[in-house]
Formats: sequence, C-alpha cells, structure tokens
Amino acid sequence: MDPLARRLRAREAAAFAELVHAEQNRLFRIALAMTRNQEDARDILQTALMQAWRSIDSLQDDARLGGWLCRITTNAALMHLRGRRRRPELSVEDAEETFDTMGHRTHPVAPVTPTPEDQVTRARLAARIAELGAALPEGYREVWVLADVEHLSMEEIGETLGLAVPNVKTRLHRARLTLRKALADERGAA
Amino acid sequence: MTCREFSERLYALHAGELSFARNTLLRLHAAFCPDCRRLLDGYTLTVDLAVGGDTALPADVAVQVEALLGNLAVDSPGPG
Repeated sequence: MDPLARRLRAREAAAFAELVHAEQNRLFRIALAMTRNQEDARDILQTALMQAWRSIDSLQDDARLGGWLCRITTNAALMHLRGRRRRPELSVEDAEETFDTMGHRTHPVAPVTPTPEDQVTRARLAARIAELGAALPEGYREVWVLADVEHLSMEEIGETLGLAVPNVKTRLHRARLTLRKALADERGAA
Repeated sequence: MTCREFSERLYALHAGELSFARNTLLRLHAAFCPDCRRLLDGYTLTVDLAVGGDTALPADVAVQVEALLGNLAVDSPGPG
C-alpha cells in the first residue's frame, strides 16, 4: 500500500493536507470547468474535501489517491448542479450525423471557423468552448472535463467515474461533436 | 471509404488509434471530401482549444482550504 495512503487510512490530518496541496489546483479547475462559476467551484471544493476526509475509511488499498479525490469532486459538482435550477443544455442527439444508404451525409457539415490560424478568433473560441462545455448534459460534461480539460487518461476517467473505457470514449466523442456543432451553429448564426 | 465510415472512425483517427494504412485511407478521404475535412478540422480545433490551463487556486479559496485542513488537524488523532 502507498505510504501516503497508509497514513490517510490512519486518519493523519497532515497526510490529508499533503494530498490536498498536491491536488487542489486540479480539483478547483474541475469544479470550475463543470460550473463556470467561481463561487460554486469554491463551495464544491470545500464539500468535496470534507466528504473525502469523512470517507477515508472507504479508500481502497489500490486506489489512485488523485483519482479518488477527482471522483469525489466530480460527484460533488454533479450533486451541486442537480440542486440548482437547470440551465439550458446542449443536445447531444442533435449533433449526431445522419447518412443515406450509400453512406453519404444527409446534411452538410458547417465549418467552425473560417480562419483557424487567427489567434484572436482562437482565444474567443477557447473561451466559448469552456462555456459550452459546462452546458453539456450530465454524463458527457464530466467526461469531457476530465479528458479534454484535465487530460486524464481514458483508464483514469473510467476508474474515476465507474465507466468502462469504451463507454468513456463514446461519451467523449459525442461531447466533442456536440461542442463542434454548437460552435458551427453559432458561427452560422452570426 | 464513405463519409459514414469516416465519421465512425473519427475518434480513433484523432486519438491516433488506427493502423498506418487505415489512418492514410481516412486522411486521403478527408483530402477530397470537403464535409469530412470540415468535420475533422472542427473536431481537432474543438479538442485543441479545450484547455484548462494552469489555473492556480484563488487566494481566498486557498485560505478557505487551509482553514478546513486546520480544523481537521485539531480533530485528527495524528500519527502514531
């Protein structure tokens, strides 16, 4: 067993502080990416850390400690969002492409941006993607945050969210397609 | 190679999970298919721009975390 995990299991507060200090920036980023609200992210982080401390006894011998905290923070963010009035969400289904029997698209693909090398446009797009990411439906939002914002591996995300790796990939792909379509739609409407 | 096949393999193409031959086939298709090229370009851009950065904990949140950890230390039995 990891020495730090052993100290945690002994409920050593200094060990917990050590772990929190190593992970707190990432945990805050996850909460912020999920909510796009600093106050909410702060509340979620506090709730998650309290829950982590209380549930140390449930820590598995082979658990990755960072992943364990990510899971608790992600769940705290989801619970926090469920308790709030629902914001408009993007439709994952609308982003699915349709094809005829010959394998040709039934609808053309709209471009996201005419000038991808334009740095001003890219900065605006990045900010918009962050906003749109928080509007992904539950089940997709947390996968997208952990994969494309925090760059966890598919295996780590699967472990964190309790999903099989193929399921993680499917959700991530659909989340990306949804964001791509939302950007293209906004560009078309501009 | 159809647009449907391209679309179905887009995740694997982007993730670099395909064989060299399959990867070449898909990129060749995108080179001649404007819709699939737009899909690939937009997908890649969407992934590339979704970055969390190195956002550090805001100072007030850091203070709050330290206070929380301090309270735990008071309640902790400590090592040994």
